[in-house]
Amino acid sequence: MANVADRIVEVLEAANVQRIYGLVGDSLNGITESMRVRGKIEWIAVRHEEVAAFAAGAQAQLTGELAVCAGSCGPGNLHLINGLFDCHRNRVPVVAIAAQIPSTEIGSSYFQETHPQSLFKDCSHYVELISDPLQVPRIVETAIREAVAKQGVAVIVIPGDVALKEAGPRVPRVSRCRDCRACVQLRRTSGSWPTFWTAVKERRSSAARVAPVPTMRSLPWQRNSRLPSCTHFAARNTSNGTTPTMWG
Amino acid sequence: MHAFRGKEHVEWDNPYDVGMTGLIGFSSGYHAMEACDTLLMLGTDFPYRQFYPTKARIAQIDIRGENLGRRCRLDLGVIGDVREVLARLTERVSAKSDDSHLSATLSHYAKARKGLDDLANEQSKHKPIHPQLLAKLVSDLASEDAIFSCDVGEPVVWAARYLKMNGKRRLLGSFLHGSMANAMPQAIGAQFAMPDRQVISMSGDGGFGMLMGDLLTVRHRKLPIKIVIFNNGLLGFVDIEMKAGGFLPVGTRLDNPNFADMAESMGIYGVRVEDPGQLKSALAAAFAHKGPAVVDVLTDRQELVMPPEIKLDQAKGFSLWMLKAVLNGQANEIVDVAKTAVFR
Repeated sequence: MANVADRIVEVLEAANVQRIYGLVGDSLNGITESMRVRGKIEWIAVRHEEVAAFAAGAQAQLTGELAVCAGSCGPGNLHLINGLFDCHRNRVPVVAIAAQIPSTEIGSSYFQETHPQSLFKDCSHYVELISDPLQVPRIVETAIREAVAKQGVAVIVIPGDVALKEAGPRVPRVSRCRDCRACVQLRRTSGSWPTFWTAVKERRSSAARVAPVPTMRSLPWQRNSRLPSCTHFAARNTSNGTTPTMWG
Repeated sequence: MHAFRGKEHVEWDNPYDVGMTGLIGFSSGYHAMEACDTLLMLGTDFPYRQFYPTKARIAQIDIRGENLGRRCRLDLGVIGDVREVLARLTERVSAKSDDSHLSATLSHYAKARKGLDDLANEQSKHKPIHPQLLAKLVSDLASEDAIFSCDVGEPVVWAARYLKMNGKRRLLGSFLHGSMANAMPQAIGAQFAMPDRQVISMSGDGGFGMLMGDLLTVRHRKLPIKIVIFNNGLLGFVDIEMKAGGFLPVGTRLDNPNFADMAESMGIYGVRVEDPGQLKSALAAAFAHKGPAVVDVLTDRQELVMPPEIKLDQAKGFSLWMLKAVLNGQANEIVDVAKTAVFR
């Protein structure tokens, strides 16, 4: 019987995540056990979670693709924060898994209790608590979309007990993009191939639009025009165009 | 010219490169920007407002509209992808014959560059080793597509001034957040992501010490990263900032062990270098080593001397980063760029 952790790991596998940097701990047991059993994503054990976040950020910056790090509840995920600030300000796509104390104890000044939703707010585009199995995979997919489309950090907060609960039904998926690993992430955000290509085309024409407009007036207009981007757009901008792209 | 994060992309094949401006830049970069008629900012968010030219017209192109005009007053703001906008812009401008600004700044840059290169003289017998020489040799001996990371602090200055990029090499750092101890952790992630490339961490002794525990991860995973430690027994940049701000340095001295011996005791190849004559061969051997390596180099402290033109009482209470000044080649003097002549 698949549990919530299995479902989370399954989504990360589908997004072509190959490794997770982190430090194990009680509240992360569901996730790390699922990774061990499924055997697709490698666990990279570090000695301090800050190193996990910096390492994930370096990987994301070099590859232009999503990278993931994880910390256990309380002090564990708190140690991620400085590295995540660096990832977020560098605008590289990183998802952090912040395990949380048992869901029934939240709000009771429990051992190791913190509130990651507040703590990670300033270093992420998105930070959300999973409190019910039926929020998965949506919260995980949304976190990936936020990290990839906005280029920055997204944080999934999950209590250890929720990760071990029985998962909801599996949502059918489209098969993986053949040529372009990074685009899997965006395609997921757009749901289907036609929507995906529309997003790509709009994004490209928006980027090409030259609008010499007065500084201040341009701001709301620009915000509205921001469309989802694929990591390849970022990669093309940061690696001298050496990254192959689907559209040349 | 480029801001630091543009170094790996635009510096290496730019025949009109005139260096960087800002505290860790140098005077030619400052004067190139200060003396221009029009400043065109391409996707940059260079944060130090006091370095923006006071008389030039300024246009900024950025795909993020919210960045337009954040650092300086603009005459024109353009929202768009720099590549696309430049392609259209070049269609509309024609070549002019007066290249006096370009030739003046290029010759100023050549002079400044020579000054920096002279400080990295391979024949130097000076002990402790000049950090400039260490950075230059790291650049010379690293592979064609090496990935570098540099710690925030003095290693950033040496990376900015001495690493030669080529379009294949990469440079990682904590250039916006400015965290200590970023270099080795970033090197770990870089090596996992790119297992076949040479990864070199230019670590400070302060930064390395802060997250030194993860040298155990390097050992555990046999990650072949090369950690080069600029070991001057000092939180060097903080020390400079204190002195420039009129404070007596407090808490900046570091009592370090022999990091090479420490690495060896962990089963990691370690070499300690105190003699400049041995530096080149020690670096070459470490870079050729199949596994992880720690090169612990005793480097010279950059003792800050306050120049007479910047009075202590003027500087007191202000952050070094707020001054309109650059660090000289030895990073032991801050130069009031407003008072230096363009042609010296």
